[in-house]
Amino acid sequence: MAHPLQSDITKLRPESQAVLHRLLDQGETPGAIARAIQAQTKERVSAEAITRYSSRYHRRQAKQQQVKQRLDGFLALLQKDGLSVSDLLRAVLLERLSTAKQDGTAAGLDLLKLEEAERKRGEYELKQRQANFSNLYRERELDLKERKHSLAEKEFQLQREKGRANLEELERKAHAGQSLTPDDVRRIREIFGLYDDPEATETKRHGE
Amino acid sequence: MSKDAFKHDLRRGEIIWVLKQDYPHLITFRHLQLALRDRNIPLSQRDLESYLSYLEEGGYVRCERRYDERESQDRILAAALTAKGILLLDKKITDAGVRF
Repeated sequence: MAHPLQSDITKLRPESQAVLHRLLDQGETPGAIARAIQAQTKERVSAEAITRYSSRYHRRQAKQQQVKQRLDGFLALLQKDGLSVSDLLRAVLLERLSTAKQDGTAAGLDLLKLEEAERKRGEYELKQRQANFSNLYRERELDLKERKHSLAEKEFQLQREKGRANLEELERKAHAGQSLTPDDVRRIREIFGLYDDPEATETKRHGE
Repeated sequence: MSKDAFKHDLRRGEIIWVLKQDYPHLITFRHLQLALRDRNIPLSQRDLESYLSYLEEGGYVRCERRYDERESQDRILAAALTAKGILLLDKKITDAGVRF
């Protein structure tokens, strides 16, 4: 049987309510809360009643905290992208999300979907940046290879020109009757990789 | 002190406590009303406005207001605790109209 002075939680006087909720917020045990209420307000309430009440109260508070954390997380993402949200708007969003949770409507879900979408967009942007960087690296690598190839080509051309110049001199010497055999000329041509143009060779043969 | 006056002092104290949970951010008027209801303090719009106005005059809270043309008066949109409100909560200063 309930004690005559034992009160239902909701029927507690305002001062007892204040003590109750303050101590619940501070994480005090139901027993300690019951003793504090009696000491400060002379009102009696059972620890069991406080236990039942506190589980509901803490559940609501935990949900609120979760909503707040998700919202602040989402706002932090927006801020990273250079979008700032005013404190008043934050307050409005927080109220909307909290009431949506309480009355079970899906009104808050749009914001939570936005948070998910924002996270995915961030991941996509990161991948894009990585891909662009890879492309840039490949382009630069290709450019470097092209330049190397171009240099090698130029060097080859220079060597060819040098070889051709030497060859012409040797040809001249040979035709001037200087001491250089045709075998020497052929060897030199092979070294420089300058093989006879078949048409030029035929013309020469007929001319000789 | 009358019971009513004591009750009002306690309610102002509860408002300060609730606002402290989101300091330094604003809480909308409606959200504050719901949070107080969760603490078994159901307040009408008029009562909450009067409590907030008192606390604002004392410098313990700041209020965002908008002019309601239909009612021809300012309405409180949201409120936030101030640094002075923190001092009050920490009992470093006192106010005769606020009790914790």
